[in-house]
Amino acid sequence: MSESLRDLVKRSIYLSMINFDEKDLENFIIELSHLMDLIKKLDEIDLGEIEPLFFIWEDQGSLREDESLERSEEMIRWLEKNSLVENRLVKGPKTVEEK
Amino acid sequence: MKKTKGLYEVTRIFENNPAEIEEEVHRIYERIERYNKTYFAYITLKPITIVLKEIRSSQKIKGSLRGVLVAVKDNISTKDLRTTCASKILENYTPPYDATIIKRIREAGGIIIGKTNLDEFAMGSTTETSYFGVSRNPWNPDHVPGGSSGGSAVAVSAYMTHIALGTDTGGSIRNPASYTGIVGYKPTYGFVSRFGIIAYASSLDQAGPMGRNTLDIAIMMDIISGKDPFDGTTIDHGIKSFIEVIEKIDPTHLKNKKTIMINEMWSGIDRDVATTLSNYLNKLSSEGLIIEERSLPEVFYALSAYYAIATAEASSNLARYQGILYGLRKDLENKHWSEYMSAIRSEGFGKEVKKRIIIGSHLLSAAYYEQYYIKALKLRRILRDKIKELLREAVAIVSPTTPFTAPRIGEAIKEPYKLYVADLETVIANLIGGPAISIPAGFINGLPIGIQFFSYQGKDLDILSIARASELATGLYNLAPF
Amino acid sequence: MSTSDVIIGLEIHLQVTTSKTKMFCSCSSDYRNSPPNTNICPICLGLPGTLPRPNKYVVDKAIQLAFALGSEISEDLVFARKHYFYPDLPKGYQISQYTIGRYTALARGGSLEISLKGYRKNIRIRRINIEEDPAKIIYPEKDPWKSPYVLIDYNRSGIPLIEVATEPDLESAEEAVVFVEKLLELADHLNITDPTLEGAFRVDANISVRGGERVEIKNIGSLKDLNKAISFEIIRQKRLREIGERITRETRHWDPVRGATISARHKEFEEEYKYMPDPDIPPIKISREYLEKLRISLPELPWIMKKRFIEKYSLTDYEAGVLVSRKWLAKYFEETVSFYNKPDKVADLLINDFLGIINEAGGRLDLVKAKPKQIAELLELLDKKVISIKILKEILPRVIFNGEDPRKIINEMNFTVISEDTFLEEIAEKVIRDNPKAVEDVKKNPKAINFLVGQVMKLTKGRADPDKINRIIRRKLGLGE
Repeated sequence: MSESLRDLVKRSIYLSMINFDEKDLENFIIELSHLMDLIKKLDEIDLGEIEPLFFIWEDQGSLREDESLERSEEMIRWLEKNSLVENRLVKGPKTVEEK
Repeated sequence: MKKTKGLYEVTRIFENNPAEIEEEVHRIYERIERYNKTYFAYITLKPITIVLKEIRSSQKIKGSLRGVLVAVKDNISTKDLRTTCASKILENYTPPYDATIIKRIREAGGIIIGKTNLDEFAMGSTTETSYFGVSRNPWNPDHVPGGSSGGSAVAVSAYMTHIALGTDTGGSIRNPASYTGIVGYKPTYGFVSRFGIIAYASSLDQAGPMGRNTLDIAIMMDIISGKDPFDGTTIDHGIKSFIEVIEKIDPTHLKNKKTIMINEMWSGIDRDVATTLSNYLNKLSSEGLIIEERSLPEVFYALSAYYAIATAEASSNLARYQGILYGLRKDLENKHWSEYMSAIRSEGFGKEVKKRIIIGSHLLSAAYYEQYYIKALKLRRILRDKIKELLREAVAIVSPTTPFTAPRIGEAIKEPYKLYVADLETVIANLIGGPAISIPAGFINGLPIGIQFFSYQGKDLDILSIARASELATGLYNLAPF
Repeated sequence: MSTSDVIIGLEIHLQVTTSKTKMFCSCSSDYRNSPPNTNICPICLGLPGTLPRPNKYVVDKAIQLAFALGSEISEDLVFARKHYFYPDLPKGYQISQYTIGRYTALARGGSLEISLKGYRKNIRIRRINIEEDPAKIIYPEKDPWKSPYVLIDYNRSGIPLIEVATEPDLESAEEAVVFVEKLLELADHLNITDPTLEGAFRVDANISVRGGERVEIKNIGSLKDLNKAISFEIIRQKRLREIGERITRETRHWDPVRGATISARHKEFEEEYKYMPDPDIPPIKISREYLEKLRISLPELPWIMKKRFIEKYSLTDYEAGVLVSRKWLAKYFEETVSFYNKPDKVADLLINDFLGIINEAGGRLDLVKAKPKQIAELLELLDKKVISIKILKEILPRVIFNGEDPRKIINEMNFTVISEDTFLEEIAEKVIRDNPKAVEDVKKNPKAINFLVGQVMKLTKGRADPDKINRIIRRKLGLGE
């Protein structure tokens, strides 16, 4: 890796939507490096052109029939209780930013 | 050595004497009252009045779990109890639905009495990363119970429940089973539905039973396992009844059965552990078990492959925690969404979880994807194929479950490497998707140590059978610390 | 003609509006007719612990689309997670498809031919894939810039989408619009998408002017906007090039209010979607038998239908083109012809009057209550001169929107054409007598006869056949027929 661990972490922080205070960042990077070193051991081996194993059981995927269910009153009530609801809509953070 | 009842005997008692059902509720709740503050098995406990009400109103259910009290790891969705994943970000989250395995337990008459402590989002091997605090080992409260299903292990070990559910991604059922002297079982990937299990690493996670003996495990497998249309990764395992097979097993089953010891899995473990497990295996050999040594050097990279896959999938599965629909929330007016979401996630996730998400995000980024994630998946295939080959004429691979007994509280978390190394024996079974069990194998300085049997996918009856035969041959089951 | 230094590629997202359920759960997909946040379940809300269940109907339709476009269909159906954070994406990733190793999109390759004035062009398809729609964001203050927060409706979360991506073979806004029209026509005929539904399709356009970087314009929601957005962007890029400025590779969006493409927030880092195969959905085998079954059940493709219409009904290219542009219209035409066998007359009425009336009211099929038999009847009545063309046009809206029987309306209003010549002769004579000046005008300017004709029409309350009146007046004035 040509990037320093620091830059890598900063970028990954952006990719993960998690931020750090500069003062905590240093310690965190040190701790992170232990786990990263463990994973980097994979650089020691060359496995060639073998197929990666994504699925333990291959070719058993199935499709669902297109039959709709009744509206769930329970679900609607849960939403009203658990999410910030305004006129039946869920409130969320804004999407535009002042330049 | 103090012994107690297992679920199997309890269900027989209930059949003959239904009045015992409510007696058991009082007995167990009394123990919870006495011990939960110290050992912290339960994050959330259902009031006894509600439990009794549930039992009375389910009189008509003829299910095999009638009257059985079940402790559920708090990353499994329950409609009537909050489901926190031991995280601040889900501290007050109550799901609107039951996980499929919870539904099946309820339909069989089982009563969910509480949600047990775990490492946050199942990431860890001691419960020390739990937002609600660490659980304590019933055999020695200065030591951890193991993780991530530590709370469930405590509940079973200290008889604060009849049976418990845990989840296992890299050893999280078997590790605490080893540390607390109980039986912990991870089924073949796809045998048990993950619908409602709050995901850590989707291709590795499996839910499984934790109990005092292998019969209890088999009873639960009959209830919770089986293809689920809500989980596309489940398959039909074709096993009509686990208990019918396992209850017929006795120590003679061990005679002339071959097991494999992978040498690399026995190096690097504590001396005491090696000695204790050796003695255990000698006992099994005297019953006719054959143990052959083999070498599989790829094992040395299993831990790295596991963390590459687990962190990558975790970063994906935990992307949904954004503070909008449920969970931790802050004042969101006039905050740009990126500012809001990162504030929630920074505050809501603990350090270990953040570490794994950040590393995982990095591994999935285009520049590194091939180098680590794909490579780890290649190693996965190699391990699976090689282990399948090793098991051509053998019924199981036998290995330590953990390289040491339960660490002291605060010890592992100080040495991060020790935290990860605890997983090295157990991750292989998750990588290859095979069944794996940990059963009690002895004690070292008063702390239990387990032994592990595992195989490749689909060989669950082999593993449960050999575990049952071994526990009968050694008498190491239904163990009670107090 | 196309300007050869403009390169355009499109990604068209089609909602599978004919599916009953969402893509990964069994919630109803009818989100437009539901109050907000009522078509929801734990899966489409992305609640912890939930897992996706892929919809077979959508897969079938995507495969049929691939057949129609001549694309190569994968042997395994695999889904991938496309990660990004946004308030409308509850899981923090969209389940879509991507090429990762041996796992690819549902289909690749193929083409769709478009014809413009004077030339035809084959536009190559890059890939077809299946994915899910995010939730809908609504701004409480209408203007996004003034809204301190957003409001989210999850009814749309999980709605099935089929995405068609083209190679950059298009070279003008016009070509792009015609392509999307043709694709929508095909999707309509394959019973995938009703293009008249709001939000049924969205287009992302990638535009570069030769020598410059590619600019992506996202989320264009109508053909009109597509035309304007691409035209604007081409000009914007050309102007920048003229003054020697470099065009940066970026994402923009089309602002219909300002009539301009606006730069999206510049990101510090390049867009990183962290694609990975979705571990919750094992590969689904697409067998030969399964493919065959779907191929056999393919409806008639629009270009085949158009040729058939031209040959069978002796229609012009234009007429056939309009009738085939909507499947229901083509069907309607054929049914009407089955009752009244004069296809040219039916085509004329449908194209010039019928369509105009419907389009003015929104263009949706469910507005049409008239049965083809009733339209046929109208044309028969016209043939028999029971009604005049003027009356036909007057009562046509009632027939269309109310489904009333033409004969009933006519009897009700006593609308039969007055054809007793003698009666007409009398009225014509009266009008000629009463309007001497007009008669004088006619002698100088033959066109002025229309005034007299109009007067007769007035007196007969529009019930007379104007051609007939015209001839009668001309005869009476000695102007010859």
